[in-house]
Amino acid sequence: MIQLLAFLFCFTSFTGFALAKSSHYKSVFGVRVDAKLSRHIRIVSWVCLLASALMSMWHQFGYGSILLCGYMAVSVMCLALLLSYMPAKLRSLIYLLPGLLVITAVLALL
Amino acid sequence: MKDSFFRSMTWLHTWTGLLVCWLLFLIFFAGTLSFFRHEITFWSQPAVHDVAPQDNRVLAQQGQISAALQHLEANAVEADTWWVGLPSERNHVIEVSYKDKGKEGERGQWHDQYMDPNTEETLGEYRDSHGGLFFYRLHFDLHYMDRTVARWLVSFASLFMLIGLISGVVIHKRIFKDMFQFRKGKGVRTWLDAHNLSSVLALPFHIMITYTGLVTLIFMLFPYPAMTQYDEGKKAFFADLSPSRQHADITGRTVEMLPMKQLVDQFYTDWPHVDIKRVIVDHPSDETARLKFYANTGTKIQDEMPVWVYNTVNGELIMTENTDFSASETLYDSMIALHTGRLSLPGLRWLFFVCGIAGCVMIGSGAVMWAKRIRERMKADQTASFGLRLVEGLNLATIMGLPVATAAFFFANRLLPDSYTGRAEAEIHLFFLGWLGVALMALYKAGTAQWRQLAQLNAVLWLALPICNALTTEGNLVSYIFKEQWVLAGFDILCLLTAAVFYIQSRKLASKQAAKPAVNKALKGQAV
Repeated sequence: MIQLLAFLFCFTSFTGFALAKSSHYKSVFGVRVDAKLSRHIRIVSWVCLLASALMSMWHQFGYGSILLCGYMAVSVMCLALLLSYMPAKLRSLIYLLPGLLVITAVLALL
Repeated sequence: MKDSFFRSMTWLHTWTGLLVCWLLFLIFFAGTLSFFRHEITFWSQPAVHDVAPQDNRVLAQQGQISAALQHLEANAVEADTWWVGLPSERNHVIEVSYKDKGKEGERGQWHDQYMDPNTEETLGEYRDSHGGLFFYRLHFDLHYMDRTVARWLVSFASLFMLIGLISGVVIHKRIFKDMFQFRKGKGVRTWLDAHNLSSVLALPFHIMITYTGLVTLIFMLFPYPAMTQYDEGKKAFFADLSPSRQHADITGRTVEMLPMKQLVDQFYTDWPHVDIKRVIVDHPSDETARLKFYANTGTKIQDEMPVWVYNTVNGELIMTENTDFSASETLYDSMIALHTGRLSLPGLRWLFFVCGIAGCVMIGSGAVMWAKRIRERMKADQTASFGLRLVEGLNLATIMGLPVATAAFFFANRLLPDSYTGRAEAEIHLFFLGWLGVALMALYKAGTAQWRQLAQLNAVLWLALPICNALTTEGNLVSYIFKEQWVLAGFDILCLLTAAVFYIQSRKLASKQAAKPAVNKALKGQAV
């Protein structure tokens, strides 16, 4: 479960990195992102990425770091496809992500 | 200066890529499938599909090793080598093999059998098939050619790939800015986006796999330090590096070995709780006979298994190896472990697989893009040059031909009769015949129509594979899901997904083909 949480944090992080870019933000929300919001999104994204790195390396440093590279690859692939083909679905997913993170975190702690 | 630097890097990227892209595609394709080497082998052997995995796998090993060795003792006294593979996370059965003493100057023949770990009885109907091992060897030994030549070719291709990757990073100026960019339906631009996206999303993997791939063959590519240090060159170096792999020649003097059970019990008294992966006896009953236990390294980033070597006559421990690495050995071995991915649990294995597919997309899209760009620059009345037609033909033959060939290989596994002599080789011949058929068609003509026809052929073949499997074996996708046989279910689902992807491709190509005459008509209308 901790690995699922690590992946979700990684995906959230890269979603943030994508949304911090004006063109992608516009394709998802229909408006341009302002500089302040973009900066905040980027900070949150870095925190999520750090959290993902810590979680994936929790048990084994080496194995976890390879996993993290894989999570990043899959996150970027999913995001690029969602942004191109289903930006509206991505918007729904963004609203769902915090909830998903909380549920997975609770399940991981249990 | 800046402009010319970028231009020269672009030139380097284009030509290093184009020159070896088809060989690289084959290497990446076979390598990606090799991540599931054992799973493919498992699928290839229907006799072992219904063997239940064990809950107490490690605890049961002591009895299994004894049973397997006693079976070999009873059935293969005259063998050169006994080989026992224990059940692992990826393999539920005990593999029991032995190698004949080959005739003068020839290698002995291997004979394989499976044992049920639950009943310790041999399972019949071993199917003569290379399974996943074929893709594993194809990845670096190619086929129908001398191994050394093949490995040099693969190494050159890998070196070119590494140059392509580094120059690609240099010329891709907006690597972070355009990270998620994929503009669909924009011709060459879409191909460029696909090329960039598949490269960037798995860039750490691509660099790692290419670099460590070269490292796996480093002693062939760069033998000079070993040749300088050792009077007898590489051979002496390897003997020093890995003494447990050295085989003394059979002397022919027979000795009385201790009972295998006693030797196994002695090992477990000395080293209890070790998870054993493999047990080998070299030259049984000869005075040079050695019993070797290989430990499972699990998820540790270590490729070489720890090994214990015993004298079979007096039960003395002769040596242990790979239990304590020096810094340089650790570095080398961890690179090999990263490349082979043997350490992976299913989750990481799938990530490796996805990254491998991304590598195939990167190489394929790069090759297609080159041809598209040249076509785009051609004037309306200009005919395609030989070079362009060759590239287009090779692109089609490689990208669409390899999936056809792979499907042919799997069909051969299910349809060739078990009694067929040279069955394993016949499967491989069918793989290459399938590929040859597509290649001949592609080199004759490689237009949109041919791409569409091959996409349709692939869709039909991959859709038919699970059906063929259901008709020729006792299981099918539904039963696999009910019995929780996830490897077999995954294989079928992956076939269906592949068929779906090719179907979508054929639909897209059909609409593109339909659009073409309409555009031509419209242009003609404007001219009038």
